[in-house]
Amino acid sequence: MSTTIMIVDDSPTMLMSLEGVLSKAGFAVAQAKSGEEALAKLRTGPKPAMVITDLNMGAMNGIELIRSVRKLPGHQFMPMVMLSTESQQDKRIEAKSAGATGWIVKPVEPAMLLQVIRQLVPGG
Amino acid sequence: MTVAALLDRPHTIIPAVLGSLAAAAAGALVGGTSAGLGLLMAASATASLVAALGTAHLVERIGSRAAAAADGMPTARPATETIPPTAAGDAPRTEGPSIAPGDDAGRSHAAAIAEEVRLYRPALQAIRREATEVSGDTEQAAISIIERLKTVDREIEGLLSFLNTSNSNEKVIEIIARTERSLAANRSLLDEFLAHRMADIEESRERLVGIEGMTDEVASAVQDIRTIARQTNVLALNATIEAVRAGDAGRGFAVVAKEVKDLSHQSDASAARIDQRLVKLRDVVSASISILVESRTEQERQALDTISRSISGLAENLECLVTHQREVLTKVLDESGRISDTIIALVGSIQFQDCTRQRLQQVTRLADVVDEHLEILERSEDGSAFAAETSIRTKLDALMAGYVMASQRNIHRTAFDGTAAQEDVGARIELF
Repeated sequence: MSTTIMIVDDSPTMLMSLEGVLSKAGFAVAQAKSGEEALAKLRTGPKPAMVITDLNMGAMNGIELIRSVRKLPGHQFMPMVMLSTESQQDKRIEAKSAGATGWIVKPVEPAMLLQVIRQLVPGG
Repeated sequence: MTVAALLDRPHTIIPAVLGSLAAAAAGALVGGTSAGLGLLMAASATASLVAALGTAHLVERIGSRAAAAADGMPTARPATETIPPTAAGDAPRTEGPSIAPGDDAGRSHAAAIAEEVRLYRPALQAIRREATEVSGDTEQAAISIIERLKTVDREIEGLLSFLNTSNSNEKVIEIIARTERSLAANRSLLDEFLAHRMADIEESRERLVGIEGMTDEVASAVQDIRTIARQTNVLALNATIEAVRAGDAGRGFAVVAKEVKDLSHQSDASAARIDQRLVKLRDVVSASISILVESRTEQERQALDTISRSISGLAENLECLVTHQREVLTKVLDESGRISDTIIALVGSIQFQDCTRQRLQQVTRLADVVDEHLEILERSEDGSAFAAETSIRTKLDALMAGYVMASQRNIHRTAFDGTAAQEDVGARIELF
């Protein structure tokens, strides 16, 4: 059974791009177009091995999503990585405080993204 | 407060705003193409970007004129000048003569500036519209690219799946293996036949040698017979002598002795004939052995060796065929792996569209701020509405907080603060 990675982004092209890269690398991909949708899926659905989320997504941004997910039972140690065009240090610190596992600046080379995933996900 | 006085701020801010718009639009275009996917962008999206840049150049030009007008140097313009249409499709228009200095001139100056300012809004609207359309077009183009790449990927996967499920390699190998087994069986039969044939030849040779031996024995017996015949002849001669010596009494004995002598001569002659035939028989047997062993055996061996070598050669050719088949399939698999990596890289590169979209969104927001401010400026004949309004500098500072990438902030700082200090992106990948 494939390892599931959840990707959260309000950009359809980002979702398609990441889905294409991850599925080609053998991962199952769960998608969410907003922080709210991701949170709802994580509350009710199967827990993915990792979450990759955008920062700026309308009502609930990526940092807020991470903060909310960390409060869900069993989600304290799930790898959650920010994938954003933003690179500011204070945002990174804020994300780290919220419980983010890492920060990746868009655009990211697919090979580098897969390397990060395999580093964070056991058996990935 | 008069409109002319209010233009004190636009004098410094607006050229920077327009410069920032142009830089942002150019940055979006360069960012998009630098992603290495410029060739994949839809023609419409590229055309829109080019149109946006064209508008940006127009706005830059208008901005520099506004600065010149606010500095009281309107005469820098020629007496009449045609301003090209904006991307929104406004008709070209001709400006009037330059304004003379003085109080009335001040008002006219303000009116001229107000007229100039009115141009900014359709230009900004054109920029917003172009930016929005470019963003939408590149998004559609990016989606189309991803879908097509996925189609290519599926087709490659299908081809590989066919190669794997049809077991073409294994089938060829199996066919060749069957042929090899058949060839080996034939070769085995050939070797067996050769061994049997050699055994038969050896047996025949041995029999011929046996016949040769028996011939020698018969020849020896013949020699014995001839010896006996000669001895018998001697005995007959002695008997004849003794018969003569006996006189008439030995006359009958002399007849017997003569008969014995004749018989001994006949026996010797028969033995001699037998010996001659035995010699001929021996020659024939020797010749047969020679032909059998030295000639026919060698010819058969050579012929069978040739067949055997042909079978070996055929087996080697089949082995070459298997090796070639394996090499072809390995090459196909290797190349498909490389194509797959390239497809992953291409699909991943589509991220450029999201970066471009966010930059264009910021261009639109910047245009919104300026347009909103210009609208207030237009409406504010006595300056009251404008005085109550937040300054454009404050709005632009607020806009800075909405930027989502270092390049946007760098462009903003360069445009509005004139600072060359560039924000560093930092580590592109950081694990906490």
